[in-house]
Amino acid sequence: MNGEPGTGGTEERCVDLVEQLTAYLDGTLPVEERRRIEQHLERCEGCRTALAQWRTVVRLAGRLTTADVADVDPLLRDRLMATFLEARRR
Amino acid sequence: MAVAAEKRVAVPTRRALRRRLAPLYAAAFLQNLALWVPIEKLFMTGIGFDAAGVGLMAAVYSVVVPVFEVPSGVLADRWSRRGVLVLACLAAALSAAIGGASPNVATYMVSAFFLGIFFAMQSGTFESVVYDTLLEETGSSDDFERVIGRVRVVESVALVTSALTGGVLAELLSLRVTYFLTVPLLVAAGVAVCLFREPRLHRAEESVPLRRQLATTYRTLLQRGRLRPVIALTIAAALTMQGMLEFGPLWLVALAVPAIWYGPHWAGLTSALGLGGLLGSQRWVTRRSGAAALAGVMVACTLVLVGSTAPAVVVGAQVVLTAVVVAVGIPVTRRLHDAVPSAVRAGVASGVGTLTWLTFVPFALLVGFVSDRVGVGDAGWLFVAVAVVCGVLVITVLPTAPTAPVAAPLHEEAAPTFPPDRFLPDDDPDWPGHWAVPPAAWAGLGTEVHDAEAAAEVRTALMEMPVELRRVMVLRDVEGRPPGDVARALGISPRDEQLRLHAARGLVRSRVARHLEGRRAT
Repeated sequence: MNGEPGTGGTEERCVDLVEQLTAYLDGTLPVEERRRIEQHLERCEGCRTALAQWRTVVRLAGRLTTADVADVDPLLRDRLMATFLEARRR
Repeated sequence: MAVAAEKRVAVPTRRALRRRLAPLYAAAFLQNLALWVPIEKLFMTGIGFDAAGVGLMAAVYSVVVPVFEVPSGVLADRWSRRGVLVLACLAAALSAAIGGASPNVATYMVSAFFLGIFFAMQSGTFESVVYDTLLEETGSSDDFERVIGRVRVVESVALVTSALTGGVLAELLSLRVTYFLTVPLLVAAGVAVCLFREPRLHRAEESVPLRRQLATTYRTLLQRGRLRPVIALTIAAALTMQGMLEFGPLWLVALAVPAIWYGPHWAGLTSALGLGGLLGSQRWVTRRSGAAALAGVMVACTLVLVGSTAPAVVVGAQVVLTAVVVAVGIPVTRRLHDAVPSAVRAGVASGVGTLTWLTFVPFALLVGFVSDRVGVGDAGWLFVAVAVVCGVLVITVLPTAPTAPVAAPLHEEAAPTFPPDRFLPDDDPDWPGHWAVPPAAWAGLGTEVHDAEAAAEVRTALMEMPVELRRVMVLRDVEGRPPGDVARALGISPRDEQLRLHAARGLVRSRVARHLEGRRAT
């Protein structure tokens, strides 16, 4: 067992916390929620590892270039980029 | 889409497009040159059909078409649209051959079965192939209305031609020969389809398991959201059109007009298909005022059917109504296709066909029942009701610009990021919801050393995941767009963006974990 569960009723459960990782990294969580997650992460090695894996996934995806994924979905991408540029112009 | 508004299709592109679509136009013409249609009832009576037999044949259709429609669409998405269209031509040829050779009701049922297979394979697939060809050649769906409008004109010319020549041929030769003469036309249609160069768009998104494809197809079809009014309008318009073709002549019967009316009436209805095709490709149809005018005309025509006893007025109302619903159906079909990813296009379009069919059967029974009991004039109220619904949907759906593809909802993808059995159960006395099997740290497993390999795994995972998730993750993590920006570009909420990104990263994480940790971990 790697986790060291807290005792309070407001303690974040690991099963819920892992579903918040993207929101946590995006920095879109309310301050209170963010604080609870940080407290949990300090104590829970399992969740720290999950967060590290999450960061690795983002880093690995960042190593890919647009060209790497262009053939995955060429047309949708083109259309998407056009919409994207359009949205930016507005 | 924005591309559509900006980019006018250049003339050379348009020429190339026309050349590429030519075999499809030819096939549409040949398929609708069904010489046997005008003499079918006569032939059926000749081989011993009675009212019960006709009912049974209707039952054959109503089973065959919905049962085969979606599977044939999915087959078109997974295997080949051209292949399915060729099979459709063969089924139609077989149907005409068996029909012509039929000595009795039972063999004619077999012919009806193959005709049902033809309809199931053709519907949805044909439009899908046209739509994807347009995207591939011009990069937008802008010309869809124009091309489908032209297809409708071609079909209508073929139908009118067959209506006129079928009777003459039967008179000169025989009823059976008229059936057999249709066979080489259908074979020629199949050959024309073979000459067509199939778009490959749906291939790019392939490599998904059948189960997932079926799930995505049905989910796209049945989900709440922007697609629902589009599908409802498609059904309402098709209901009115089918209703006119099927029950339009009943008004003539009720008004006891001389037999001479029937020919021009039928010619009017079939040419309304072509007229609607021309009308539907006009840009004003999708403006608010244009849509409102069409909605008004629809309701007015159905009210004429309820109230008028002047045959010319009734026939005129039926022709105008048919033309208008065909016209409305064209931009609606584009909105349907705009909202559906290529990988499930034919399946979803066929699914809409099935829903239309499933709605039409009870509607037809109801119209038949009401006409029998209180007269066809009162059955007209049913058409008024459908026209009102159709009109409201026309005003709400048509003026909205085609938007970014509707994403499949996240039911399936929102599965937990880590398998539930990695956590202690809720009733665990000590640590409910905490790690039972915590993830292994990757640092010691050499991610840094084998980054290139791991990145290749990320790429594979991206290719395998549903396109809605992939799109968000590519923009966010590969291209590094900031949060919120992507949501705006895709027309989804920031929360949705985050959920999709999370689900996508979860799928990538599992794949990288499998790669790094071997088969032990997930």
